[in-house]
Amino acid sequence: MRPLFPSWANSALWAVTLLLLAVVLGIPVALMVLVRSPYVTMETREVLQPIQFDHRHHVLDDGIDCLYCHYLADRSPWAGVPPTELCMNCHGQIWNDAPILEPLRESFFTGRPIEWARVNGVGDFVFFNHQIHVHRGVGCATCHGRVDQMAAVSAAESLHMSWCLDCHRRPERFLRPLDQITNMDWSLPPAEQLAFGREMQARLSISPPTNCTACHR
Amino acid sequence: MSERHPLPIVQDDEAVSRRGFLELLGAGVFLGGLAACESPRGEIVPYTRQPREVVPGKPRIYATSMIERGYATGILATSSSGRPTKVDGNPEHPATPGGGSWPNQQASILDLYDPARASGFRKGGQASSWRLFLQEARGPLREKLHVLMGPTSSPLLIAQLGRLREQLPDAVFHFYDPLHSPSEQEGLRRSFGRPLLRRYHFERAQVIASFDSDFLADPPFRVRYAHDFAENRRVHSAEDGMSRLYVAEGELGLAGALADHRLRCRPSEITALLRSLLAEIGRRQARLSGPGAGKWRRLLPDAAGGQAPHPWIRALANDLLSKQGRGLVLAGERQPAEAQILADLLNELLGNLGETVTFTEPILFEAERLDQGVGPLAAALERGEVGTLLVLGVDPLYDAPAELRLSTLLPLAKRRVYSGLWENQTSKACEWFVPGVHYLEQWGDGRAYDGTVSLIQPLIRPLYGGRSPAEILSALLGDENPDGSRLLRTSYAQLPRQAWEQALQRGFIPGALPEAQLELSVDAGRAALSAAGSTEASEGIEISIRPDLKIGGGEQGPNDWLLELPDPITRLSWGNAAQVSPATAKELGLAEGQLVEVSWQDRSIRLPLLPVQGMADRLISLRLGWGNPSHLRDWERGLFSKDHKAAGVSVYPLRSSERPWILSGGSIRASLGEETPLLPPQPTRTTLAIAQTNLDMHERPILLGATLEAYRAKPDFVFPNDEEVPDLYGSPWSYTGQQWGMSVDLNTCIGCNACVVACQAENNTPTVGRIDATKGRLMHWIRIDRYRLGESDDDMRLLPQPMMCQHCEKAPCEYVCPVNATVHSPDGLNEMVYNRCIGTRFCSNNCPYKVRRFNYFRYNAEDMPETLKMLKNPDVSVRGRGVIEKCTYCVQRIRGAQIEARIQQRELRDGEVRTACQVACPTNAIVFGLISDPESPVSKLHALSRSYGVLQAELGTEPRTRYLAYLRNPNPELDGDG
Repeated sequence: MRPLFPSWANSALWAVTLLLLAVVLGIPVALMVLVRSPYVTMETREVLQPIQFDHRHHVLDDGIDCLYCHYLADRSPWAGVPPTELCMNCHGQIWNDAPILEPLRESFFTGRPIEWARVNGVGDFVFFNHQIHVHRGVGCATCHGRVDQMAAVSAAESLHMSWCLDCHRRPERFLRPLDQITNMDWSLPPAEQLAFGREMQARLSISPPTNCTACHR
Repeated sequence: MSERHPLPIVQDDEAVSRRGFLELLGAGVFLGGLAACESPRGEIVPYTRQPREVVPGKPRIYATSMIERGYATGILATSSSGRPTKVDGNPEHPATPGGGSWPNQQASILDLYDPARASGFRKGGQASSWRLFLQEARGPLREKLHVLMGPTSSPLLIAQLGRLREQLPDAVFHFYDPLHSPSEQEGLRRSFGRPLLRRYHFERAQVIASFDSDFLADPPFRVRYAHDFAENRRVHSAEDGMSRLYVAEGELGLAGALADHRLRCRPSEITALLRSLLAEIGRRQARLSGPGAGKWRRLLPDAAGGQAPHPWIRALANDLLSKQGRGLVLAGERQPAEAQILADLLNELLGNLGETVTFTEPILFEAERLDQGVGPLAAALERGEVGTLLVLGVDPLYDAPAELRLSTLLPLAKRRVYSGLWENQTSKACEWFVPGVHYLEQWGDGRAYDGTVSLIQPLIRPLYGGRSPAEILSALLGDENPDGSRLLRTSYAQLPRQAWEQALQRGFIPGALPEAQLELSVDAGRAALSAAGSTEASEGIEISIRPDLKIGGGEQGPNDWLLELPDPITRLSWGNAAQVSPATAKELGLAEGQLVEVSWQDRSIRLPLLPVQGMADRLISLRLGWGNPSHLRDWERGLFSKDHKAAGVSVYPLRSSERPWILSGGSIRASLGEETPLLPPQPTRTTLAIAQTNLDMHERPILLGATLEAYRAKPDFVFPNDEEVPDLYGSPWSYTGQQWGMSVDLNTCIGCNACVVACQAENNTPTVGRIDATKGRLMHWIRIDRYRLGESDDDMRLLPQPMMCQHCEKAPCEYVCPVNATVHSPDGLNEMVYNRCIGTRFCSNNCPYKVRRFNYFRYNAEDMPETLKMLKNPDVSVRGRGVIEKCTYCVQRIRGAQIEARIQQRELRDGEVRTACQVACPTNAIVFGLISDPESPVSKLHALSRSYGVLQAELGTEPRTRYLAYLRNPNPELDGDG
């Protein structure tokens, strides 16, 4: 009697089964890869702003400290974006007729705030506090990258929970002296960094929390 | 005695059909897919000019005042980036010692943001403006001016009214408060010959006898009274004493529910009871030692005689006589003048006057006009004497007695101006509408009950463009550009700048009124003694009308937090009911939820029936403040239907000017659904939204208590046997470092609900609406359970027990969560991680305390009005649908304080973190802190022998919240019958 199925059916069954398995396993894996990809985390994606603000010029050429504009970073949970008035401290005097700064002047004279596009953001259920990080030896560049080298700012890190916990569990790899927080260039050779980090951790008794309500309230 | 109530069954017409559900499901999948396409990070919008004192992200706290029925209470308001988000009592203010507050004060922040508030000026049907109003205010509006407003103690307003009277000699001012009881002033006038303000000193009282007075719940000094009362009930060791509370009342009040001895009687019997108490003291007058006693000796024999008194009265008389000068007799303000005089006379005889009862000059402006209410206005309207009627905030068409026919008389005024926060019946009858301002939006002042001048300063510009009463009156005085800030500063021009700023910072200018030196009139005493003998015994059913325990007379407007808050005694939310005793309900053949018609003479109202344990028989208790037809609320917060109705039923139609409170000879009958052709038959019953349907503990050790004597004999009575605590959940993990815990004193908790609303405000807890409230879906993170103690209805207590997450060290919820959404923190908190929760509700099922709340619908809808978003606490997640939530010990405050301490490189100290409920508690019954610090107050309270964990002996959950067992201080003479 002729067999009901041709002999290649065996191979086909295996092929289809494997394919289905690949789809079933692959979709979740692909999704997990996707959320970690820069496409979702928006790392390296340059964000358009209402005014083409160039950090390179302000930090490198003019030597303005981060805390001059983001002055809330060491006194509030929010680092904040400077009020229009603060920009006008300088730009009332210099480049005060540059066409590129027209939105700034308009905001200043009408009182309508400038709506800057957010570059770094965490979920609404995450309560991140700048103040404590700045006071405990976490430098600006550690999370925000070399903003001084960015023409248009982009996020430097994924800001995923695993990334946060990576530092919270072993902070000695990232700590720096409190007077070097805003220094974009500061770094130590890896071996010295660990020694310095441990010493600083002991000195300031830094023990970053890793429990849920540290950030989720 | 306990009745089991079945849980309400979901009715089919409320549910969604299968087809409808699938349609919505399909739409949801489609729209959800669309929403997932964008990945917005949003904008950052900085200030253009940042105010110097503001640090965005850091809240600031300002002192201000809230005015209730004319008197000021101190408020500390928190401003988060310019938005007021929380109010608490001002701990330095005499009306709110220690910073306690009342539910309506806590909820007042919601009024500020109420999207239903009126916005925009209106004249006739047309939009108008403040400028046009100013023009008219200088001209025609000044003609034959009558002002109708609530009582006021504001020095600023009083000065303005005085000037207005100088400028416009024919101007007339009417002060109206629907809850004002003229009999109290009448009694004082007869006793002492002039208007006065009576003040009680519970901190000095050892024996308190309350006759139909719910002194813990009645404004305006209730936070102070509750605080002082609790000071004398706090027992920390077997040597401590506590006061003894006797309450004679018909309905169960906050004070009555805690009373050591309670006498059920109808309100009309109070005068007779006071007379028999006086007679009883007359019989023992030899024991009177007070200085005033001699003067009265001559009068007293008249009072003696008659039948033998109730044993309760005899025991009370003995107790009062043994604590002369340290006793206190109170008559409720609803009681007739005779009862007030008898109470004064008793206090005089017992030497309590000047000790536990003192008097000051009245604080309200022209208090005697307040006694007359709207009557004179109605008469003036009828005579056509009113040119302009200016109504400031009050709503007489809703709450004035019906026989005045104000709705037909009001149009007789040529020009009618209304100013208030909401449009209502009165405002709709007025051509001019000037939007009012909330107290957090205005400059102003007022005086506290003890006379302290309190300042109102705004935290935010008027959200709806309103104007304050001072600005409106100033406009009538001819001011071309009234400005509240300038008006207030000018009226305190005598204060130098520095002193003024200091006063604003504190919120008040210290200085209470001195005590008045008085003598009780002998004639009044004699008259009261004889008049009291002739009070008629009331026949049939008696109707007793009271201000509602949550919303008073409804003057605070429609406030969803208060409407949804379960009543402190009946646990009823979203409405009122005709309350009767279970025996009376049985006698009349009526059942809970049945619609009944309550009538008195030719007036009647229709509302549901609610049997309440502990009430006097043949008495119907009705609560004012509900059913304002102008205040329509969303009946349901869920997805599927929007039904707008007024909550509850208005009781005002039953009241008359002559008899505002106690009506004898009322009747009650089941309301039969009248059949009208073409209309569906009227329902004959309704489902009441009752948060707790069973008051019995079923012999489980939930609320523990003992008599003071038993406690002294056996201080560790809460652990009756030394049985091993079961270990169902393995050994707890080791806790090192700072550890948090809470102690709740059941002996000082009065069950006022302030903590419940404070928690709601602090933690962004949504309201669920009436329909879901009937299904037991309330979202409050803390609830006040009530349990009945005492066998007989005549001497029972209905004790409150605040119940919130107990933060068990061996938490049953944590073992059953499939996704680790509830876990333990190193400092002993039971953490709830909303972003992990998938809504299985296993944790809620496994929680023995039933304190976990599930968000069934979009109670916190993303599309809520913008103003309600402004109200949210920025430090707490706004939880969405499908997530479990519960008390976190205000973890946002703990973590915030820890961050502050770490920045300052120091250890966090006990006392730096206070939870919202702890701050709000008027009696300091809730204490939170570090149990790892043996010197902290909470550690010391946990170490007391009365401290126990609920169900700890049964389940071994090791709760971090522990309770101090309730103590009762019965009179040995009466012990045995209760």
